[in-house]
Amino acid sequence: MLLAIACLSLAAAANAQGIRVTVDRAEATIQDKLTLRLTVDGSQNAQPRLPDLSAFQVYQAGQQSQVNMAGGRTSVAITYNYFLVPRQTGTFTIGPASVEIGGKVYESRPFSIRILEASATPRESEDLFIRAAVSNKSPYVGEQVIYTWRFFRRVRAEDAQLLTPLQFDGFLAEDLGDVREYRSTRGGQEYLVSEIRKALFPQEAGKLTLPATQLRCQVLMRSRGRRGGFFDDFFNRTTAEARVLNSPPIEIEVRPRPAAPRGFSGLIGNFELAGRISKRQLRVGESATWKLTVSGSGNVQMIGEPNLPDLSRFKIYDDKPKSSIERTGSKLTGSRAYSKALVPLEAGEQTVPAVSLIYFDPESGSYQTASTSPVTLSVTPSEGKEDLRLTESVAPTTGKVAVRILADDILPIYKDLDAVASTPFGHRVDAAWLGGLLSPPLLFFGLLLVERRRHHLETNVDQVRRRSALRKALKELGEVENAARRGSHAEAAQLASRVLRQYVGDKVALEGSAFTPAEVAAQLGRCGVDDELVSAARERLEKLEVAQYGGAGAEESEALAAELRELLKHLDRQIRL
Amino acid sequence: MTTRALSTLLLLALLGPAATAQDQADPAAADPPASSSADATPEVSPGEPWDGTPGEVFFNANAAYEAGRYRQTIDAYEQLLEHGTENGHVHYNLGNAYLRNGELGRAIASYRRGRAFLPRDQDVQANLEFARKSAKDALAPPEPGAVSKTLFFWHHGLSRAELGALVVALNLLLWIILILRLYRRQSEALRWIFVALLLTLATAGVSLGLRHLKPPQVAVVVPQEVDVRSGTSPSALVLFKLHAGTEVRMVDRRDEALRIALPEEGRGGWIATEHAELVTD
Repeated sequence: MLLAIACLSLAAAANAQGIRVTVDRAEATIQDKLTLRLTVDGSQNAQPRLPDLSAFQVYQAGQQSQVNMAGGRTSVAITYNYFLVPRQTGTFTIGPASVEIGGKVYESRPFSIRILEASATPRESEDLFIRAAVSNKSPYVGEQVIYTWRFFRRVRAEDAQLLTPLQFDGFLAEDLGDVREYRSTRGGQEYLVSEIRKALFPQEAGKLTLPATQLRCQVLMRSRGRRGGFFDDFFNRTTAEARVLNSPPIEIEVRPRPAAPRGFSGLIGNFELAGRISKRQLRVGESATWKLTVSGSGNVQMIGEPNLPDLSRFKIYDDKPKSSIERTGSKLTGSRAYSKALVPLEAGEQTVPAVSLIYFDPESGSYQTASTSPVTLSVTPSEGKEDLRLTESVAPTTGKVAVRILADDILPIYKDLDAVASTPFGHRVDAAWLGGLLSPPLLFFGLLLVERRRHHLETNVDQVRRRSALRKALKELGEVENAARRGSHAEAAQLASRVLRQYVGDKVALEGSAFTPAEVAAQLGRCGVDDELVSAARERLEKLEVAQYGGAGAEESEALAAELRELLKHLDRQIRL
Repeated sequence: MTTRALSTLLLLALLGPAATAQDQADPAAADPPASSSADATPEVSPGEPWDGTPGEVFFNANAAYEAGRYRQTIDAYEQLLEHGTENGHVHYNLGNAYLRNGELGRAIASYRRGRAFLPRDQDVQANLEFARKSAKDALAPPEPGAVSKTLFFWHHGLSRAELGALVVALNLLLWIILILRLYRRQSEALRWIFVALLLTLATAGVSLGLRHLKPPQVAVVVPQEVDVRSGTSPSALVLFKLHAGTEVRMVDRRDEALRIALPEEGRGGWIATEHAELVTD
C-alpha cells in the first residue's frame, strides 16, 4: 500500500512540471507585432530552449516569476515574454519549446500562426468599428469553432458596453481567456484592438445563427468652438459623442457526423493517447504506476477514461484523475491524466494490453483511433511478506476492493406533507416566544409576593394586629347593629363593649377582652390619646357594662353602633405607638 | 389586586400563546388533495402556479418536479414561500428544482436557506456540496472554520428556531429553580443548578442575539458572469469577474449595489443587487 501511495504521489508531483507556449493571436498581418509567452512550470532556474522562430524578429520583453502556495503544496513558475515581428507572410508552425527539469526533458505543444499581407485586410474608413468572425462556417456537430469578436479604434473611446450580451444559442460556449488588448495594423492604419475569443461547440446539425452584436461607446473628440482652434488646443477641450457600432449576424451550417463506430469516446477534435508505466520489473504484490493521458484540442471537457482491456491478472487501484484545460491559446486544448496502481497477481511475463481511444477528426471527416502500445512487465515471485499487501490493507479480513464511484447526483426532493404542516404557534411564534420568556418571571414574582406576605404575617403578629385593629373592630360592629335590630339590647351592649376592649387590646398587643374600663383608660393614656377622648371611651365602656346588666333602651341601642364607630375612628387617629 | 386574581393572570399569560395557536391551526392545511396523484397533476401552463391549500401546492409541485417541469415546480415552491410556508424542506426542494433548471446561483442560495432551517440535515448539505462543484470560480465559500464549529457547536449546529426554543426552555428551567429556591432556601444543589443554568442561558442568549442583531449575510452570484466594480456606478472600473454559484461575504449595501468581500484580505468590490441572491445564515 505504501509503495502504491508513493508511486502515485511521485506521479502527482511530476504533473506540476512542464512548459507552455502561447501567443496573443493566431492570425496577424506582416505589419503587426505579436506577443509570445513561454511559461516553465516547476522550476525557476531551468533554461528553456526556444522553438524555431526564424520567420520572426524576436525581442525580449521581460519575465515574471510566480510562487503559489495552496493546499500545503508550493508550485513555482517563470514566464518569459517575447515580441515577434513577422519577416514574411505565410503559415508558420511554431515547434515545441523544451526545457530540462530534474534530468527530464519537457516539450510544449506545437501550434500555427498565419501571417497575412498588410494589404490583405481592406483599408477601413471608420475610426472605430467592430468585427465578429468564426473560424469555420460549416463545422460538424460538436466540432470546435473559434468565435472572435474584435473592437477596433484609433480614437479615444470610453464606456464601451455591449447592448446585448453575446449569444450562442445552439452552441456550448467556453471562454478562451480574458479580453485581450493589442495593436494591429489594418490597411496601413494602426488600431487599438480589444478581442474576445470563445470556443463554440455546435450541439445540433442544421443552420445556426449567431446574432448581430451592438456596441455602444462614448467617443472623445476635440470640441470645435466658435473662437477657433487656439483656445481648443490651449485648453485641450473635448466632447463626448455617443456611437453605436454593429456587426452583422453570422450564419453557420452545421454538418451531421457520420455514424459513430462502437466504442466512440464522444471526443471531437484532434486527440492523442499516451500510456506510461513507471517500471517494467516488479514482484508479485508490488505496484507500478500506470498513467494514461488523453490530450488534444476540441471538446476537451468531455474527456473520459478510455475503455480498458482485460486486466484480470492485475489488481487495479485508481487515483483521482487530473485535468488541465488551457484557455489562453488560440483554441481550447487540454488533457486528463488517469493514474492507476497496477499490482500483478502472478509471476512471469505479464502484458498490459494496448488501450484505444476512438475520436472524430473533423479535418479528415472520419473517426480515428489513438492507441498505446502493449507493455510487458517482468514479474518475479514475491518474497512472501509483501504478498497482496494492498488488498489486505483495503479490507484486512475479507480482501474486498474499494467501491468505485461511477457517477454523482443530487439527492431527491422531500415529499412528506409535514413540510407544509402548520407550526405549533401558527404565525404567532414571536408572541409565543415572548410569552415563554416573560411568563416564568411573572409567575416567580407573583409567588415571591405571596411568600413574603405569608412570612411577614408569621413574623410580625403584633404589628399586624395593630394595623388591622380598626378594620376588625368596624367589621364586628355589624354584629352589634344586628343584635340591636333584633331587639337584643343587652347582647348589643355586650358585643359593643367587647369590640371596644379588643380594639384597645389589639393596639397595645395585649389580650383586651379582660380589660376593665380603668385599664382601657390607662392604656389609651399611654398611647398619647388626649384626656377628653380617654374619658369619653371610659364612660362609654362603663355605660355599656351597665347596659349589659341593667338593660338599655331601644333608642340608645340603635344609636350605639354609630356612636361607637365615631369613637373608634377618633381613637385610631390619636393613638401613637 | 388579590392573590387569586394575580394567579389567574399568570395562568392566562402562560396558556395564552398555546391557546391562540390552537385556535389558528388549520387541521386541513397539510392534507393532500383527496383525488390527487402523481399522474393526475392538474394541467397548468408553464410559469403559472397552482392555487389551493399549502398541502395541495406542495403535492402538485413535487409531482411537477418528478415530471421534469422544473419552471412550474419553482413557481409553486415560491408561491408557498410567499404565503408564509417557509421551512428547510421547501427551500431544499426549491434548490433541487433550480439546479435541475440550470440556475446554479439560485440553487445554492436555496440550499443555504434550507440549511439555516435544517443545519444538521445531511441531504441539504450533500446537495449544497454537489451544487458547489459546478461553480466556476475557485473560491472557498464563506463558512465558519472547523475550530469555530467545534467550540461553538450550539451556535452553528442549531437553527434560529431551535436556538430560540432552547433559550425559552432554559429560561423556564431557571425560573423554576428560582421558585423552588423560595421554598428550599438552604439547598446547595439548587444553588449550583441555578448557576449552571444561568451560564448556559447567557451563552445561548448571546448566540441568539448575534443571530438576530448581526446575522452574517452571503451573496450568491446568479448570472453566468458578473462584473465586480470599484464603485456602485455601472461605469466604475471592473476589478474582476465572478461566475454563477460563487458565494461571497456581503459587507455593505448601497444604491442598489452590494459590496462583497473575497476571502483574500482587502479584496472586494461592488455588484448590482439584482445579480446576487442574499442569504442570511
